[in-house]
Amino acid sequence: MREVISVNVGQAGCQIGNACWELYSLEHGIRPDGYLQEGLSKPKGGEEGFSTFFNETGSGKFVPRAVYVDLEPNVIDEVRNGPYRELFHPEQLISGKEDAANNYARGHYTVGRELLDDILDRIRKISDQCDGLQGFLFTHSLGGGTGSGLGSLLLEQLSIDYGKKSKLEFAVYPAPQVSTSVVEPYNTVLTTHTTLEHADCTFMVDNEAIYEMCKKNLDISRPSLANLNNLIAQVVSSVTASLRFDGSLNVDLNEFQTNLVPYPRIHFPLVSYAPIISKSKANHESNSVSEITNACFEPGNQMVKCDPRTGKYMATCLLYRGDVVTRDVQNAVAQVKNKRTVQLVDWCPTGFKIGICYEPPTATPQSQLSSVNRAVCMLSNTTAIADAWKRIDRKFDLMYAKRAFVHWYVGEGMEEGEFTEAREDLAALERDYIEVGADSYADEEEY
Amino acid sequence: MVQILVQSDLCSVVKEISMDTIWVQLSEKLYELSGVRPEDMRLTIWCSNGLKHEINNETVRRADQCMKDVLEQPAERITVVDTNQNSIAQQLTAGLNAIDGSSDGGASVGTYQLPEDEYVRRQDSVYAWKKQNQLGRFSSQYSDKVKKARDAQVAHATTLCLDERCSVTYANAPERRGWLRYVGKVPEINDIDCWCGVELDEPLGRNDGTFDGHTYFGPVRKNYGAFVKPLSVRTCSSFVPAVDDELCASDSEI
Amino acid sequence: MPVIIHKVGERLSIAGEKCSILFIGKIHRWDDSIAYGVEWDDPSRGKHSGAIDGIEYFSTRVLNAGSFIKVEKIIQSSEQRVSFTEALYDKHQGDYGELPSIFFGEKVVDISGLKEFQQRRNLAKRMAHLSLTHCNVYTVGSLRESQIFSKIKSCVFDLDLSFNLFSSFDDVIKIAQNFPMLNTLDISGNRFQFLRTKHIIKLPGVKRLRAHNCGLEDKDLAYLFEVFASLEELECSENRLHLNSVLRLPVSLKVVNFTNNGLSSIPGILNGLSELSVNLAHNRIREVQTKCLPHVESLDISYNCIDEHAQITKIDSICPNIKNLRVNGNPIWDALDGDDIFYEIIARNGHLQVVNGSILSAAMRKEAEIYFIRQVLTGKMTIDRQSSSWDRLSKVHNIVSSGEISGKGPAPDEPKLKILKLSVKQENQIIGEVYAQPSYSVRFLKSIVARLISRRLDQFDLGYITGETIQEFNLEFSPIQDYDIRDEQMLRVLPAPTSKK
Repeated sequence: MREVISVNVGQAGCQIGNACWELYSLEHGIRPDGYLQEGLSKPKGGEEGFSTFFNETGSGKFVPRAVYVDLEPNVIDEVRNGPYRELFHPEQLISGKEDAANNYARGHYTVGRELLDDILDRIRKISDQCDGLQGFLFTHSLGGGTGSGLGSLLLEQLSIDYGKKSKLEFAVYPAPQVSTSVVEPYNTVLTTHTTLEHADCTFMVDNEAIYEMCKKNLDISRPSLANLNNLIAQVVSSVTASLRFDGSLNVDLNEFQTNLVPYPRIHFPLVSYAPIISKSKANHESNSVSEITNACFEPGNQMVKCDPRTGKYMATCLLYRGDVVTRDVQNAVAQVKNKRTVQLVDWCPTGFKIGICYEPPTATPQSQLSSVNRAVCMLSNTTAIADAWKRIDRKFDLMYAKRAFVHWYVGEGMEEGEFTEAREDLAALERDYIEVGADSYADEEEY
Repeated sequence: MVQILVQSDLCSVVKEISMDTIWVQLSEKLYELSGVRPEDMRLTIWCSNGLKHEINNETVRRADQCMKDVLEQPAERITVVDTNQNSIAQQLTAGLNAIDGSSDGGASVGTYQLPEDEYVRRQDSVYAWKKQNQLGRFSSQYSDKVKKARDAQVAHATTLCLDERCSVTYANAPERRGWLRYVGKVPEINDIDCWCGVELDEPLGRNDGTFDGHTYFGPVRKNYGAFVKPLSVRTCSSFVPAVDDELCASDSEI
Repeated sequence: MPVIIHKVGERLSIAGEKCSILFIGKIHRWDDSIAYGVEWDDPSRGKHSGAIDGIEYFSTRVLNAGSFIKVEKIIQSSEQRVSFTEALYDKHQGDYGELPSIFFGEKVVDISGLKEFQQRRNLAKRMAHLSLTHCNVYTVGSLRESQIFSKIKSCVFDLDLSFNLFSSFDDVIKIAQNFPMLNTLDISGNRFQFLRTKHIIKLPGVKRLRAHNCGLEDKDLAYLFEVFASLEELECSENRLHLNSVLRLPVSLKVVNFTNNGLSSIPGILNGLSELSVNLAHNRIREVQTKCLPHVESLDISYNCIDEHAQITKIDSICPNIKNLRVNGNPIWDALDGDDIFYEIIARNGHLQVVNGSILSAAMRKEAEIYFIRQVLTGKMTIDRQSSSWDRLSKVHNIVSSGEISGKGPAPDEPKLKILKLSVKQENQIIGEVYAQPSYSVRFLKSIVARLISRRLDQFDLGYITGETIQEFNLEFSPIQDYDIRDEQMLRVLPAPTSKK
């Protein structure tokens, strides 16, 4: 057994969690009440596979190995009253009374800490039901108070309580144009600094990039939050498919790190997904293996806005789902090789990997994605993602130069030194990415 | 609880807010989101009946009234306006717009850089790791490899005939043809590499034979010149100018 | 003179562009060469309709989709065509041996999962897909001699033959009938000749058919329905269908896609089907004029020519059970305020879950309905007050007969809001007043007081006065009502405890 516990923190984390568990349930043939769909004798995915994410109770009910945590009750109340309320045990849903007011310090030091023992206790109960816990999968936002503050607090605590168990994150990166609050850059830098040594691998998702995919690729003129989360869930599901279905690449949580992260600090792979086409536009061309592989290198299919053509690749994992044969894969690799913009850093211990999961993706009834026989999710550790850090660091600098709103944090008992310490760490991270891209021979081929 | 879209220069977010919220409490909440201080705050509120309400600063700071007392319908959207031209929020808006608007991602905005010596001193860094494990340029084989690659370029360059027809091919790029006009170093690029200056048949190059003010060949017409790596070049009189496919096609297809 | 190896009716791929041969012979413009007259699948590639200088050599089905090509160019640039068995061998031979290493730079590409995938295929699990799309297949070849075919034939569930060079539909049937488990067939991007024979081979096992861009006309579709009589899903986008009333759709159909066919109305033949999902996007529909479609659950009429508001509002009476609707991309959308019509559509139709791709939340629905009712009551929008939609809205939102919203639905017993006025005392002086609700946490109250006295939270402590004594709040996060704080009560600012972190 290789169980994985999902920890969904804060508003964004819980909402994405909801969308994911809806999809997981569908993919494994589990109904919203936790029992098997008619006609199934056991969940899809093989014994090893589904049991990583679901716990079977004595009565034949399947319960997600997950906790939901939020400092305010609204979002979790929606789970408690929503269509999947019976899927979870009430103990898995933990909410406080007072929100973090978009303040990392409130989530990390004051309001969040009040709830900490309670949360760790519930996680302990879930881990007690595991034979061989592999690790944890976090979903949270970097910009909000609860997601950043409490999220990083939990990651720290789990490092203490569970030693070297893997911890992966799906983190919502603040959208470049639309902020949820004025202090997002502070929260993002602070939480990134705190979690840098605790998270093994962080997959970032930029809501604005997702929003544009919904508008352009899925022809949704006004994407709702449900649309965004639905698409994010499809991507998360692709990344976790190898854990949930028997046999393939990244079967263990720590393999993500082995395959993608050459050095612990450089653990932010860029995620791309294809095909993203709407039901009404499902055209036949965009669905062959070479087509979807190519699409992964298009900026429009990336979960974070950055330009990989300007960067170098340390590692690339192509995770295919569904119908893919040897010949297709050979062609796809040849195609990627031919791209002059894809340059591997030759001295890195990580490399180019391909994994195939036989189970094709599933679409929820309300999803606008066309149902397809095959899809691909590309995880690539590229130096280009440093752009995302540069953007947020600049905003941080602008604000911190004026000490804008720093008193909100200090008022919660945080020391001002933590701001400078965090910022220095992020500056070192930017510098780390430059160092990765440095010293490869023959940079420019033509003048 | 109603869902309200809160917008200001610095935020745009949907929040669940009760219509029983007292104004002074609402303004505190909006302060946390928008950075606009309650004393500088003016609100425009759209309600579900489509009506727009202007809420002045006096009302915003009232402690004895809640939203419901002023608005007869649930609010849908609140715009927070900062009336203080010199406020911190106004200053930030100007600064952040400069970052988002500029093509270089705001490189011009003063930004913190880690001093190089401090980075090198760090224990937990990619630099330290590379050095410790002899990776990249710290590897003993690295300089050999670089030298070998450079030697291969130079060796190939000696086989090329100057002022002969040539073909330039890079992986994944269409073949280009022209005349080989120059072989040797281009110090304006770097001091070590060997380059081939090619006069192309078509304007598919990047210059006119001049690099950084120094003319190596020609000058030829604009964009008919390029400096490329020797291994991408082959010379032979048989590399005649490529036939225009379109011309050919129109002849055999009507 | 080159040897002519093709026949009229055959299909070719020239530099990636597919075409059908309609003529082979001499034309007056070229006396030195044989000309092929072709019709391109992509009509924009064509130059005329088969006539040159007023002399007609052949006639294209689509206007100006034809060209003449010299035989020399055909030989030089037409791609090699293969048989089904050849394509199968080429694509799948690699599945049954050791995989050669693939290098990326100096690194070996590590591939995992293929073995498991093939094992499953070999174990004849039902999910075997066989995809030979874009393989230039033009004929069947010898199935009996193909080892790969005999290995996989019993487990192929989904067969993709799209974008090949078949000319006769009989070839597709010859292939398909050899796969007993076949459920899904994709024949898109081919141009077939349908030769009606006395014995039509039926393939009732096929439930899903994709025939995108096949140049199909109504009579061709009628033939396909005879072969595939039990279809549940049909994709027929980019064809030349009119869907006249003589056509009979299989009653088993649940999902149909007729996008890009130039249809001018919602086809009446859809009426009889139940639980249907209909996609009619990118046609030329102007009016939503058809009898009731009570069973349609999903309707897509985006990117048509609907320019009347009344057409959109009719949908709720035509499809009363609709859950998913797309009407974006019609001219009406530019003419009207998008918000208005978006809300109106949601409000009129209580079953809708997704509109124009947006997944609706309960809050969004409520917002839309209240907005719509307001607009109706103030005369800015209209609805038939006898309709079931209005009846539903009236009930949900408690509209009384006078035409007023009496409240937001059956009002939950919300206790009347209580606001406490508390005065704040510091060193025996009253320094101000604060307002609080009983549900506030001690901490929140403290933060309000902190603003009043301009101090940081950790610089003071807060107590309250009952009678003569000062009590401390000992739990920061419990609501103040737990301390029985009453209106007009006095708070007391205390010096910060020194030992606290």
